Amino acid sequence: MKNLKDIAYKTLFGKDQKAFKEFRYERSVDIPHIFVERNTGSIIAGIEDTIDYIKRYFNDETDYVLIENSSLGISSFDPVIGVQVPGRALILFKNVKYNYVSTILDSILNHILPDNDFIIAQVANEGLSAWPDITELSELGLFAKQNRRVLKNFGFVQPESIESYFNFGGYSAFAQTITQKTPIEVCNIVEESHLRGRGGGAYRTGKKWRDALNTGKSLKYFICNADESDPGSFSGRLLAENNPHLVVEGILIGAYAVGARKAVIYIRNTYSLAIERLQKALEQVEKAGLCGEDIFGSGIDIDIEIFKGPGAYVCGEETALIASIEGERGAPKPKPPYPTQEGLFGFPTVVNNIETICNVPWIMQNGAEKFMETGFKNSFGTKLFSVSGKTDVIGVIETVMGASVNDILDVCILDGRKSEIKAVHIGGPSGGFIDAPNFGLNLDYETINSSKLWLGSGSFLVLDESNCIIDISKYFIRFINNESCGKCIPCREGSQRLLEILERISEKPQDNNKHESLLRFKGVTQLEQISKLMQKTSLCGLGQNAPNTILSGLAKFRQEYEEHIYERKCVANVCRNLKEYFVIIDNCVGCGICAKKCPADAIIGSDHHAHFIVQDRCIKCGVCESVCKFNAIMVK
Amino acid sequence: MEKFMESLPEKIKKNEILSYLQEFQDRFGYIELSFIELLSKKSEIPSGKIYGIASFYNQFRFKPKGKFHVQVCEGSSCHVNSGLIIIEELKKIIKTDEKETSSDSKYSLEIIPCMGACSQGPVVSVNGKFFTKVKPSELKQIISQQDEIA
Repeated sequence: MKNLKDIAYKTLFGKDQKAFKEFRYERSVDIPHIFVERNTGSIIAGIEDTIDYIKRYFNDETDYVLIENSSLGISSFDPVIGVQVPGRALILFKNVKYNYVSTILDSILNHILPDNDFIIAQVANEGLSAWPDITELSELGLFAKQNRRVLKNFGFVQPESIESYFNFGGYSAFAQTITQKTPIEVCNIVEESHLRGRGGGAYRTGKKWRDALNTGKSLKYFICNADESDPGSFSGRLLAENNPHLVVEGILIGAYAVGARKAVIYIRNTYSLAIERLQKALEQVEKAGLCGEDIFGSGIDIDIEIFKGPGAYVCGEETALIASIEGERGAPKPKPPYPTQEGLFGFPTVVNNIETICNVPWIMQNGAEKFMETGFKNSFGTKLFSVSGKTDVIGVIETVMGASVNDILDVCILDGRKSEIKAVHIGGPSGGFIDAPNFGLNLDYETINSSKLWLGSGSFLVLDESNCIIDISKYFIRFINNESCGKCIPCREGSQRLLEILERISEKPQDNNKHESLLRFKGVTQLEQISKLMQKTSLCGLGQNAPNTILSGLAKFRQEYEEHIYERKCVANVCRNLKEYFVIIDNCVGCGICAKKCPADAIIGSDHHAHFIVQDRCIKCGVCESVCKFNAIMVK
Repeated sequence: MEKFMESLPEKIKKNEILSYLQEFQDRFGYIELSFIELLSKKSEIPSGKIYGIASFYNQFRFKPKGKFHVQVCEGSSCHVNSGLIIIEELKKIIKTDEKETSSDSKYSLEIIPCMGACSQGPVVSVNGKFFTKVKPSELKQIISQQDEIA
């Protein structure tokens, strides 16, 4: 292949769009092409075995091409493979575990469609004959109802190939920006687009950039925050793993706009595949001359490096993140001074969320006005939501900013099961519950804030009748309690007290003395008070938003709290410590099936004699109840 | 390990400490306290402070990994599919707590905030081999099966 630098130059500036034509996925193929979506989620779901079986299937006898592709973003489809046979359109299959590989390949290579359960959709293109009765990917409800702007090329672009990214028009936004626009113009365009921080802060990105640009200091830093450590949020990982070049392009534009010579990608150390792919992307970018010194003769130098975050939720806060890069504990600092004035090592620093950055190339290419065509009130563009929990579709979806909860549920719940959804918890540990009557709520920054909730980085946890509100609150408060940096007292002590109270009301009294009842009563009266105190007096967003879960839970599911407190009852049957399992001696015939199935060895007894449950060992999993054929297990 | 320690430069800056700690853990699986002493000497920062920084972050562990390193996901998607039972049960089976190693150095446990396979939860991995949609009753078999292979 020719020198990457020449090709990049020709593609971006020489109007020679043909340079990468050979990589286009729409073209007809002469030998079978197999596309595999390899990413963290699909590796856990078993894509490595699937790849292995594909290789074994062809066994060096038949010519074929195996291509590592990016993910469509839908985790519940994993592992996904795409097959393109000569003359035909690309067709995508889901849940292809290794044992189905040969069945699917046997039929599709002979131009016969395999079982419908595996088929997602096809991607038809001119000159390729389409498969009969198979939906087109863009017409599939799941994708048609989304507004995929950031995720546009996901599922097609190859994460480890800069050529593939060029092919989808990659880096042309950066090339245009650097040659045709001054930094202040870029800041103005981003400001006009009303792009706001997608990490949760919702601060105007353009304003932040201009503040940093106007400081006039020679050394500045641009940081991409890809730390993403809240449970239930996986959009940042998806972006970094599947389209690392999009992230890099956004960073290059941002760094140019604020005049930063150094850029840092702060990404969690455990995201090993994302780090590997970002590193590859940076190597390729450097080879193509798009990064480093004197980019395409413009006199601009931008260096990008990766910092592996050692893991702390609070490092999502910009001052804590900066402290972490400086080698300190990741504890936030009071603002002002804002990082745009005095940030990393004392130099002006812009910290932007990875999703915000991925919006930038689109804005530069399509303009601010076009960006503002979608949106609601003062929030424009699109937003990624990490949907998980009790839905049919689990994964990242992209909708118009300000879409309602209902809109998102429509995308990810396929049949009429929507009526079973009890609540949605949005925004991760800093967010709160939305109950079913309020599913019409628009998810834009203003509406969310006025409902005393928090959009956060867009986690969207769907709960049905089998989930307990107190249990979920306890889960998030435990997370906050673990992750609180300990600098300010309201957060450190408040989260500990909240956790104690929640634990107290979700377990059986250890003994029947009055002290125990007093503690429960104290819990009831203080839950709200402590929450409000934390909101008012904590130093950073982590502590201020932590009690949202409890307050929104109390407001909308007060009955569930009361049932736990007064009746010691958990309707969802989740709070296991409120339950005790007993054997009804008269019913038990001593078959021993419960003792065999009990994972904790908590059931003892000899054959044909009534058994007995040792309460200390019992983990309340309910297996005994479900396997007993004689109704001999009682729950109290 | 000694070789690696010798390969460090004479002077270490404060902002490099975290990456050295990471490199050490990547190589040896945990942070040896003598390594903190060494970093302290080279950077002229008190070892107590370095330990404070290291223990602040979730990534670092201070006990060697066991023969079987068990990781379990506690993400919210795993949690709503009874992930908590899995974690509690696992702790009992391998007799180990989070970030700890069992007394016979056979098992070590690591709880991960989110493994990134939210449709497959609850997820457990033993020495990098993943088990998805795990039920409490399957745990014993998963652990003993790994034992037999080794």
